[in-house]
Amino acid sequence: MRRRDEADFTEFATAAIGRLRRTAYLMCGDWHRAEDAAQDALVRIYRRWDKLNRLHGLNTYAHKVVVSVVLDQAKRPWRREHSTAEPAERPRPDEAATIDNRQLVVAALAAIPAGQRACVVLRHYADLSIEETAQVLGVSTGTVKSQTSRGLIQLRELLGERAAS
Amino acid sequence: MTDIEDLLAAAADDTDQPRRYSVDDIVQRGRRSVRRSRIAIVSTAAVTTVAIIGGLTAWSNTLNQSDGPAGTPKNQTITVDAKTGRVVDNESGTTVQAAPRMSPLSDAEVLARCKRYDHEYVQANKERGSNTFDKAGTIDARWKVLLKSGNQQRLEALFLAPDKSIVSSCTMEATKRPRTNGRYSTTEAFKVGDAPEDKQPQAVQAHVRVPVADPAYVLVNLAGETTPRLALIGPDGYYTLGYPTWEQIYKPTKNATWEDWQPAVQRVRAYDAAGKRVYDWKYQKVEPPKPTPVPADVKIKVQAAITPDVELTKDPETGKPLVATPPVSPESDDRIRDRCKKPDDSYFKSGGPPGDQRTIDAGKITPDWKIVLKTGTGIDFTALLVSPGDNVVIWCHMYDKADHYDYGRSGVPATGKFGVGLEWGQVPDGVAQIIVDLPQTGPVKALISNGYFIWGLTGGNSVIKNVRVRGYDAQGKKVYDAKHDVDADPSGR
Repeated sequence: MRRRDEADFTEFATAAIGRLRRTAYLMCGDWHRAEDAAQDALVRIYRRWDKLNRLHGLNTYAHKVVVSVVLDQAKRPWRREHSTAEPAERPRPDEAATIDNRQLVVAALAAIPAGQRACVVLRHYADLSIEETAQVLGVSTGTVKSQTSRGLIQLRELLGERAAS
Repeated sequence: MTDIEDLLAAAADDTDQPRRYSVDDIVQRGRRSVRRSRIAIVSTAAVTTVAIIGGLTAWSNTLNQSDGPAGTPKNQTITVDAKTGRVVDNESGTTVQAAPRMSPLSDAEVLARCKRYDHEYVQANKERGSNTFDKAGTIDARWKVLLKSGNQQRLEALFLAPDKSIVSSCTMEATKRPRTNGRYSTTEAFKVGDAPEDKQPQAVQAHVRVPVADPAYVLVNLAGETTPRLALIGPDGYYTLGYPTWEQIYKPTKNATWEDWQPAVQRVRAYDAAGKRVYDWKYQKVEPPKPTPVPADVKIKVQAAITPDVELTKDPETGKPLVATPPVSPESDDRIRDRCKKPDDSYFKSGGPPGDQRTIDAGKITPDWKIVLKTGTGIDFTALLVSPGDNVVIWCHMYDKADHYDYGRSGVPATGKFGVGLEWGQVPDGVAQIIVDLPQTGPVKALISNGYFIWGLTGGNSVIKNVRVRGYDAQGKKVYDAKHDVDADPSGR
């Protein structure tokens, strides 16, 4: 890589690493893994830097890579995700405890299917559009919409916020 | 920002999570990665090996090791033919597949072939901060060759660190053609779960060792095979099935979810010199706890329509005009059923979400499904369909092209009432008219139909807001007032 390109990459990585790490954390619920994923994603981007269109879609591509890395990580047995429709105990929010709330959110995210989780995180945390999310996940925009919708419903149910009235 | 976005942002707050890597570290790693891309390949391959042979584990029983061979039930023994060396598994009555051959290579040659790739693997882990348990360094002449199998080309070897903390595995397709490398702790466990069996050392979890002192025989059952394999045994319970062509026997489909994976190793048994079983491990898939199912005969309870004496046109609290009631969709019921079949078919193709059999038992959309509510203009609509058994509701949103849809199936709760959800609700008892306070458009008078209500073309790019929902009786008296999270974007886009 040329020196100038490397400087461009460094600038991009500096701006992106925190956000990628946080996105990965919401996807996997483990800061250590999240940092590994963000680092792996940026190294992959480094390797393809010369070939990437840096004016358009770089952020989308970075998220695509980090999501891919997180999903690959999840296939390792000692990092296995326990995806369940109904967790053993539904987390209930405790408004008095911020830390607990964070853990509740992360636990609730972990309890919804990976596809829905990715849609919710990319749409509602990473601020990607429907089209960008579809591009990241390699699915149709319709799927993104329905997966996001279902994910939000499940997430709210798990967080005990949906009124039973 | 929605409440969910707030929650996600708070959950992802990393102010108390200092980074272990700088961008410079990443650039350095990127440079090395470009120069030595093969390292990454080897590292990935090593991970793949463990992914296949690992898995959630559970020990099937506690063995009573004080039983003598004579008192051991036959199905817990093996029979060894002294002449041929053949081993018969008395539990299944089958002859066990032969153990792999010991490698003809000298220990020094094995070390020489593996050392370089072990070093690269260790370095790669170090660069990415993985395997922090591994402080034994690269294999060298001080490491003990525990096992070596293969021929002049192929090689599977296990090395034990001088301090016995780490087992290094090395698999070579040929000289200078590494296939996988692995490093396993002899004391620490992979973090699989919290069960006692998940606390076995990595070497046991990775199926290179049985936690039994000097077993005479180790039998391994692999997924898809009818007879067990005899392992090549080393000291201290270490074993190998040899060059792992067997790892290819189980291949999940490309798009398999993690739950679809089954580890290749299904069972590991160890026997003493008398042929008595002294260790038995079986793979057991851990099933998530299942919710208590709602009986199928619980039907949806809907309130009969109440005709208001006074039609609300203004907000009773502010006097401001209400936003017009969402229109009834011009699409025919048949057309709605027909267009909703596409996502409905997808639902059944995917098997639907686990947990509520009623949503499956209700079957696909047929003319017997009732359209209880439909709103929209032109070809865009949001509709509710109720199953013939009156216990399942489909929410179906179609916008613009058929591809742009939202869809969901819900079984009615045990109470017989859904209440108010994100996209639609059931009319509360005694309520004749409903006002939903949408933040963008202002208070909207909801469309009520057959005991259900909706405040716009819900679905599409949802904007979830916590809003006030008010219900008024036939005389215009407020009888219901509650806040709910709803899709507050009624545009359907």
